[in-house]
Amino acid sequence: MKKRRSISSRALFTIVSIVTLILLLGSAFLQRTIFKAEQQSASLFLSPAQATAKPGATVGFALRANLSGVTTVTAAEFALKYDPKVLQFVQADPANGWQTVKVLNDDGLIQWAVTPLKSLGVAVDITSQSTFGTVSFITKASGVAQLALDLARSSIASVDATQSPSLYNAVTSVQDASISIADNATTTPLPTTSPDAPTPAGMTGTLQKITAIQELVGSESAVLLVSTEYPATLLLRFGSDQNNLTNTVQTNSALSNSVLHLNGLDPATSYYYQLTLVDQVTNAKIISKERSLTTGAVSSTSSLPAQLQLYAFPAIAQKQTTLYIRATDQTGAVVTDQKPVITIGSGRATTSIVSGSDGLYQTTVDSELTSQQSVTIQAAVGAVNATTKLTFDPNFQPAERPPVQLNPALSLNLTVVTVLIGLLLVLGGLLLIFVRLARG
Amino acid sequence: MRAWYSLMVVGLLLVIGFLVWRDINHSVQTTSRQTAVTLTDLPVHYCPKQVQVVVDQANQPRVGKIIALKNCRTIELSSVLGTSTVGQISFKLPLALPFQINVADFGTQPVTYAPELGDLNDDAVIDARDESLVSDNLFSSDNQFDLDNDGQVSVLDVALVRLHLGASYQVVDPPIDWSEVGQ
Repeated sequence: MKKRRSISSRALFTIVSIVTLILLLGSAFLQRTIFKAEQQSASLFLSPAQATAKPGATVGFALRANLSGVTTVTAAEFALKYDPKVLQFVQADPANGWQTVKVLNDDGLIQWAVTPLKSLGVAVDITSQSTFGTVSFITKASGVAQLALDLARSSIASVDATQSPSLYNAVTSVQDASISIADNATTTPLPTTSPDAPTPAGMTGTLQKITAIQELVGSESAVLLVSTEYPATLLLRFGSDQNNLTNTVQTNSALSNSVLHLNGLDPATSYYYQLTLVDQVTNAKIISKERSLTTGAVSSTSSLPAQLQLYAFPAIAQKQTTLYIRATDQTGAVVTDQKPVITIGSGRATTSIVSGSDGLYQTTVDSELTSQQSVTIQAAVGAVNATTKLTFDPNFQPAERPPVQLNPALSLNLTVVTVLIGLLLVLGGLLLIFVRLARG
Repeated sequence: MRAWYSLMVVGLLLVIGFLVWRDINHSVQTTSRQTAVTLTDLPVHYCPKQVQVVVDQANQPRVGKIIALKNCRTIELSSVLGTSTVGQISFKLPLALPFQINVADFGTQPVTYAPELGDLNDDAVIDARDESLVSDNLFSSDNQFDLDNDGQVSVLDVALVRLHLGASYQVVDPPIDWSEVGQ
């Protein structure tokens, strides 16, 4: 009778170790792969890929990029090698929406940098296939010439606010082109400029940040209207001594639109402040730059304001928002003890009693409607008035905090560890069954 | 077979032990005072070895020193923080805008800061002049303008300046002469 062979404990231990190692490395690799996939990639190429021309003709190539998705770009540069014996560089023309920062032509190498036009802002969103410009040459002699983009020296400086670092080079591959020059060749026409011009970038990401701070000052108080990308609690330190910000004000709940009241201030005095934002989800602190504000001087010339400033904060709310009104004379000094009269111009809403006396006044506006509506509100003191428009939307929800991936390094988080435990248990069970079968 | 059961039990105990240790360690970390600033959103190759630090505390003389960075990203401040909770600390990294953090912000939560690279002329503001300095030196390898330290002045350096255009530093009183700090 043949004796059944059983697997040794050492062999099993080796198998388990190898499988565990594969699982660990696999999960870490998967995490890194997922992280990398969030950034866009671009392939640079010249169009046409193959051109023909007679000697002495002008021929142009459009510099284009195929992108994996909409990409926020703040600058781009291209390095293009060519044979100076066959081609003579004429010029590099940026496409619609782009401007040349610098162009160098040296011994068969063109280096060209472009940025979005100033009118479009510091960054633009470009679509899946974009044209950056056209490079033109004059053909000098018959033959075949290669035009090669240098991957190491070509960049599309792109921004992904969800990652750290947020700036990256999207170019991952390049494609060369060639030109055949012969006396009997038909010259390929110059490429027309692509209509897909870049658009100003939204620059919205998933990183928490302060998006706006509006300062409103009275003579003895000030209000800071702070908007953040996602809900957060705020801590404000302030003081008249720049090196000693001893006074603090903080919010109790995490909101995207927070209001900070500074009271007990002196008129016509500079105060310095610094905001600390505590993210609702990550608990990480974001500290703003130090800023300063100056409280208003009390008007000594006029008892009636020459100007009213009216703010609704937030301008879009579910049911209630707050109005802030600042009354000033012609010199910019605040007019005190002149509470404005609030009237609803259009829409259905109610207001409460106006409070404040130091030139900065406030009141709340409520809406009981169950559907979205726009409300026009007017504040007036005598003949001077100001109007603002706000929206009540019962279904309005502030942006929720998406998950953040801050560290691209290999890491095993709690979820991965838990999954690995489960997999190990399953593996252990299977091995147990296997061993029993082998020995039985 | 008994050996296998033992191995599995030991393995499970190790995993559970790790999770418990991790949890306890995390809770200990979040109840003790943080003394480090972690720098974020910096280019991969940007690796400053040291940072200039100036501490301003009430009724105390200004202290300026140079602190070595850990892993190019962590500024450990236990040597300058002490037990005080009042005052300001100003920081200056190479090619970056100076920044300030309140001493009181060093509580139990981690402190992070994303420095703004691009103040090439050290005038405490990132503006068109800084952008011109980088643009004029594009395609060179002058490390004075190589903000991301990747060995060449490229549009990635231009982009760093452009993304921070308009950023400025609120000058403290009295102003800090950064060229003197730590000398």
